[in-house]
Amino acid sequence: MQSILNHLSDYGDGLSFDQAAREADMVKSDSFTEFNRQFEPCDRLLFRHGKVDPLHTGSFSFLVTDFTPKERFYLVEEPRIPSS
Amino acid sequence: MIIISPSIGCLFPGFDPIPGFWLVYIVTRPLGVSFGDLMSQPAQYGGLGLGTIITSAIFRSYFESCQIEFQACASQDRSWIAASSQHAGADDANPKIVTAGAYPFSDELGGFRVISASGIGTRDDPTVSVEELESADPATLTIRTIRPIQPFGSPGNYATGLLPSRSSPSTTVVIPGSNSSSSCSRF
Repeated sequence: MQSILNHLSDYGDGLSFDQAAREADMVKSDSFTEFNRQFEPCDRLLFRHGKVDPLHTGSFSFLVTDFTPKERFYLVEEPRIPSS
Repeated sequence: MIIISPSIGCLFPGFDPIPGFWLVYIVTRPLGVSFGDLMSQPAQYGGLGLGTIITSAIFRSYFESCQIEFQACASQDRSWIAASSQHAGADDANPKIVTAGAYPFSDELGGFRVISASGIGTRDDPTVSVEELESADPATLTIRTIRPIQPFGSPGNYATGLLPSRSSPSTTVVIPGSNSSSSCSRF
């Protein structure tokens, strides 16, 4: 998550993946079984133990909270190529 | 403490917007009256001595300037979206913008394509953006707030600060080895 382009959103900028309530059931994926949520040093969700095959679609659900609020913010989606 | 309680309550997703509105409406009135008295009452009573007419004129000017500023911002957003939408889907070099609820989603930063968006942004009807990733490079989705900002407003009509979302990216290129079970995806 980024509130300013190319600058990572941190704990104090009001933008996060539900840092106030941190409800676990708001984050899920149909392709990955686990997730890790960070608020420091940046707001980040890392989905693990799963895959999205080429030419297939994965689904990622989460709650974005923005209490500033901002006129514009950014969601960076970073696929990881498997190492093996 | 009572006056700031609605601000604290809005941090919790389960906070009901209707009692929240009335709480804001009722408990902030003494705050407004206190400021009004401070400005309008004579100095001998601890006020600034501006009188009721000047005080009312100041507040009216302030609220009207806020309204003008808000309308100008909203108009600017509509113009920007309209200008961008004219090219939506017509050319890969131009951004595509799709709106779900109070938030438009754009692929203007390139490297992927936004296909569609739906939902109003509630737990039962989250915003869903469907995207096509053209490579394994990071893709940055741009999300804007175009509707009026009201923490206790109805989702879809207002930007409430809460955005239950679902992103559905799909790959359009075959990445060698990407069918391994050890792949990860990160937001």
